Amino acid sequence: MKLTIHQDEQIKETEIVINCSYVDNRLEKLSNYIRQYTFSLECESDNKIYQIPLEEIFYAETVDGKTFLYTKEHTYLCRQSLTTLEDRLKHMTFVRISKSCILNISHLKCVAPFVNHRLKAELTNGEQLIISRNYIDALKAQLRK
Amino acid sequence: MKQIIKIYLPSACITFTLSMLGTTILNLIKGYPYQSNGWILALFGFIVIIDLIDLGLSYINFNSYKAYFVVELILTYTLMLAAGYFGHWFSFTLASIVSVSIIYLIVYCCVHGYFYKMRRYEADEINALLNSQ
Repeated sequence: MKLTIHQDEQIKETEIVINCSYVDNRLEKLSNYIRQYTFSLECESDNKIYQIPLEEIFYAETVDGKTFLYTKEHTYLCRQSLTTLEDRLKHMTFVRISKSCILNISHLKCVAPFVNHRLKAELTNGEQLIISRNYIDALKAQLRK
Repeated sequence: MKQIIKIYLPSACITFTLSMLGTTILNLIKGYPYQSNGWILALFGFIVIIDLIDLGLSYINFNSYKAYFVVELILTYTLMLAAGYFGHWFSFTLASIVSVSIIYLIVYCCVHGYFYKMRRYEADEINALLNSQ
């Protein structure tokens, strides 16, 4: 695969064009990864509205009926439900790993066996999340895409 | 349904087979020639109850595998002793309790070992997929 970056100060908006004969799995994965950079989610913190780029979001979690987005250092409140987020992000690098959590697999470091047929996920920032047994196959399918 | 096929059915099969083997060997050593049909059905019922306990424990967030292992062991072992006492499964002598407890511990460790290996295999598969990214 050949990579060409054309840098020009006159260009107003960054555009990525992929030239290929056909879109295979690897290319699909790459385009999903790039697509993250075109997306941002509106959320709140300290009564201020922020647009958080998708690639900065480690995971989204519902706590007491509220949806929170977690980046490397901050937590933001999101007005959308987890189901809505899951639907919006299904073609990105996000996958549901439990009833209350959606994980960005770009930030998944490794997994290990955990209590009661579940898995423990370690993220690149050292945080740990539990992958419910019902969602292990979905995670594998997402990683195989 | 998926959980029944993937978890509870293998768990029940392994527990039932190993329990039958263990008690049959124990009975042969003690000189009893046969197993009672009622006991075999009671054992099956006991295994179903253990699977329900396991399902109930899945709603508790344990901090470590060890904590989960010990809590489930204590709960199911107590239940097994109670079932043994009230169902007259074995005589309550020290020798009988020790031999039944050893069989119970072996079966319990085998079932947990099997599922731990399965999860380990699954985790390795996911880690390999992550490394290939």
